[in-house]
Amino acid sequence: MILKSSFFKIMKEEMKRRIWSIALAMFVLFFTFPVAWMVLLENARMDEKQIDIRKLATFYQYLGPENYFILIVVIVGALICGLNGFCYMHSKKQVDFYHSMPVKRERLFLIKYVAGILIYVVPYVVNMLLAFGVSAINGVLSQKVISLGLQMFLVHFVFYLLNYSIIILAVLLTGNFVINLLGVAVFLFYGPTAQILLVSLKDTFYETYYFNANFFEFAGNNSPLVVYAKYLQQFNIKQSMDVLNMTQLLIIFIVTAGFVVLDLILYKRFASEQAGKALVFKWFETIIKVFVVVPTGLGFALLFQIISYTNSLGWFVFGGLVGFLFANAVMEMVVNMDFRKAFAHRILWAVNGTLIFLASCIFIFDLTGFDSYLPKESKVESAAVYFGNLDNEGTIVDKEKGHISTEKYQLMHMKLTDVKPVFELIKRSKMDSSEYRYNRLVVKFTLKNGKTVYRQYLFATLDNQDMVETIYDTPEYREGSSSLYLDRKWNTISFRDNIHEDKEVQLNEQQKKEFLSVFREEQKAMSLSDKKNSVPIGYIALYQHEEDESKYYNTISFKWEEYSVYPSYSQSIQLLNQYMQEDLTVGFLDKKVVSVKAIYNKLEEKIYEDTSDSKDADKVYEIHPVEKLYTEQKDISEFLPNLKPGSMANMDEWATSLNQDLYFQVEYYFNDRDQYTTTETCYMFTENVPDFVKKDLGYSQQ
Amino acid sequence: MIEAIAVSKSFDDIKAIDSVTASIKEGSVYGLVGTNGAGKSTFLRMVCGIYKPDRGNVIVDNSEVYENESIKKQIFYISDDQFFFSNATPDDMKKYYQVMYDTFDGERFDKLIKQFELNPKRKINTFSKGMKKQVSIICGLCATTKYLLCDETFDGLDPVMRQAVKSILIGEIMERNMTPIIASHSLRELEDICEHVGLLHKGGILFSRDLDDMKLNIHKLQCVFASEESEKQVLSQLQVMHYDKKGSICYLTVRGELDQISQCMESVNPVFYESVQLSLEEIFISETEVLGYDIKKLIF
Repeated sequence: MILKSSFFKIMKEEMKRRIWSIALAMFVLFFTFPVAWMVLLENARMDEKQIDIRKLATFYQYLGPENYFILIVVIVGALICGLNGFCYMHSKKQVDFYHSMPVKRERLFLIKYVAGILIYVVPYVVNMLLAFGVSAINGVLSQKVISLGLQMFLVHFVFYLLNYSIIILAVLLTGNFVINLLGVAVFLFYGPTAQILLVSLKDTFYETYYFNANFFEFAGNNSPLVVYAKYLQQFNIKQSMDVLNMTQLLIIFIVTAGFVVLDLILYKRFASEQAGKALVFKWFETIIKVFVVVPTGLGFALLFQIISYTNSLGWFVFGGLVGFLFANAVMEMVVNMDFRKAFAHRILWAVNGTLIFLASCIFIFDLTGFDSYLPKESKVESAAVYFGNLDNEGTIVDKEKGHISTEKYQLMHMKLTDVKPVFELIKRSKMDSSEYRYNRLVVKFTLKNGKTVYRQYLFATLDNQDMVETIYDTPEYREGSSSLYLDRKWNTISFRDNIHEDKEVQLNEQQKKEFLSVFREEQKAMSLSDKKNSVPIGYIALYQHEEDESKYYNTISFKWEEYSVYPSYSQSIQLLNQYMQEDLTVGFLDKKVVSVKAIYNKLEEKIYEDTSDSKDADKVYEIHPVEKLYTEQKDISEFLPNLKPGSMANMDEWATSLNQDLYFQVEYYFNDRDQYTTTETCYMFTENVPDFVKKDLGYSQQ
Repeated sequence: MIEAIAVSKSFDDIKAIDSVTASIKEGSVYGLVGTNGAGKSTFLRMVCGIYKPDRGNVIVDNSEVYENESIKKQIFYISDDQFFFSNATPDDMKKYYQVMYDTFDGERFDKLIKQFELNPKRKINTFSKGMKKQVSIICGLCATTKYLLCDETFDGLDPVMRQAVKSILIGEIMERNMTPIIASHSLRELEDICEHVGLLHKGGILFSRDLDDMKLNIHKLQCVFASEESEKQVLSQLQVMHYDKKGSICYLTVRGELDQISQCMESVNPVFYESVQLSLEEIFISETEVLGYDIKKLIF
């Protein structure tokens, strides 16, 4: 009892010393919660009596995990409390004072640690309650609001503890304020920075290195700040009102407990005579020097190479030397707090230099054989491929990751079991080709032992069409390249083309089943070469449109992705016409066309005089457009059946056979009142171009 | 009792304390003398548990002091540059110490603050250096701990204050057997208060002696001999530590009991002789010269 009461008395004294930080926390959180909520609810008001339910979404966004401002408040709060609570260890006077007191180190640590938590928690709770009061006054205090508010409190609290404990670790390892801040920066940002460096080195020196990740994916879990932001982000995607992933939070809590134990051990081992020194523990000195100097040297090397015009290795070496000298000298000066010690510890200088050299050699000369490595065919369970620009359907919505590129989706979901064509294509990609057009091939191998290997290559487009078709025309490729083959919740279908803007209709279960079955079959039946010689008539999209109390948008219109509808999908088109009660094949070209301008981008050779002694001169080609306007309906009628709108097609050279040197600008009335016209750029397959047009434009195959 | 047993402490390459063994009895005033950098503050910090010795032990009342709450409750350390909370008043410091030390006497604190004419509500950071020292001494006295460690505490006090503090200390020692340990580089500071003195030099204790014992066994004589033979006789019979002659007057610092010395002197029938009180400085000079050190190089 005596110990308990003295604990609280000492705690009270500690809080008296830190009253300014309590006041600051109250001030900041007052504006973060009740004031901000008041503003948001005010903005959501339609009039004095009613709140616009649709505008409440912004309020819920602020309340929920999308609010990264509170993340910043929490991190800054942890920084202030961590520094303020333990910065006495920088001062010999204060160390003499506190450590002469009849209080054990463990108790002193506990008092200061808990004080830092109370300084955050109490103002947070007080202001959160005030905010609930504000929402009650505005008539929006509901179980949803209270639940989300309390959940976010718990989430922010857990991450406050994590970051606070790690910041204390930085304070315990370093002995003055400036070095404290550097130490905190190391703990919060070193992991992601090192990752960026590693990825950059691989990307620069390894030809087959593949990297396509957002910040959170590649940053990993090596920074408490990143882990915090990642946790919030997962719920942003789901737009969920339930933000507690108890497993993750428990893991975070256990990790935090580990850091607290480490903090306590270091605190107990802190020798009072180390107060004021840059680094408190001798053993930490060597570690931090190596961990800072080596990446800095490599970072400088890369930076100089990248910013140099020639991108040469010479600049890499120069940058590496500069970085090595700079980082080593600065670390020695900082640690010894003496400018004249810049070149101290020569052995460590040599060690750091050697490590930078060795690391550089690994990347420059590919000592690990990264580029030449391919797994054995027998060890591969499946493969996923992505051909650059081939199936560019835009972005796909993944349940866990939100909007992702088609590339990423294919690599995640595709599982080609016959990998021979893939290996063959890779083998061909390493051969020289006289063709100037190359395309990107990204491959993900999933091995039988569970590991994955990613590589990317360039392959000559025209020389390897057969192999691409072999891979493309498999059911596995189709099913892995489009989310059409996943079982997902949707109840609304929409159609768009040049004249229909998201015309939608809700389907019942039977209709959904019927349509999907037909559409999937027709899509699979279409080969790559068919696709290249065809242009979609429009696009469909599948919607999930319903009331969902679990989301903070009460009603949700979650659009998945769009799928092309080709003319050959006759049964699908028939069903669509039936659902939409309209002939969707009637396109803009059925409207009244006023004129068609044919434009031919004629390439003409231009020779530049070479001023050198060499006899050969450089040859370049310049585009000289040739135009012809057709207004006679008899001429226009020759065009119309074969014109394909450019906005409907994937105009990448690789994905379509449409002639791109010769195109047409079609002017038409976009409504029946013949009042206003609009222009659409259209294309044709070369064999469909009328002879008279070719003659008028002087067209020849280029 | 405080015991330091073969205690050593280094800071990087600097050996601040080198295998020091010392014993400080309860109820006596221990003076720790040494030049700047001798290791006085380091020694005191080890005794009050701020520093952990690299080797050896510091034992207070039969227990190790480092990280020992119950033992540390019996020790109050007054640093040479005492820390006060920013914007704290003497009242604030009183409240803090009352929480830390169960034995802290708040009423006495108020009384002493008044006695020293300090304003308890005024911010300490507006006090002069001497006033801050007064506050730290008052805090130390009112903690009523068994041991009071003072690191160059009397520096910065005016002579009147110094006397006042000394008389309070003496009162405390007599009333409740308090044991002050006072570190200082000034022998004159410690002269009239210390009972036991240790001399610290380059991290080691040169000697540690009871002051009374030292005074009983060392005497200063002023005399005039009748003849040179009698002078030589006396010099050969007595343990002379220091000899000086100005004209016909001889100044001798002699080790031994006063009776024996008197007997020896009377046997040669000097023209004149008398025993003169030795100052602490003179005793030290004599003792250290015996050890081969020139005290003037050790203590100014």
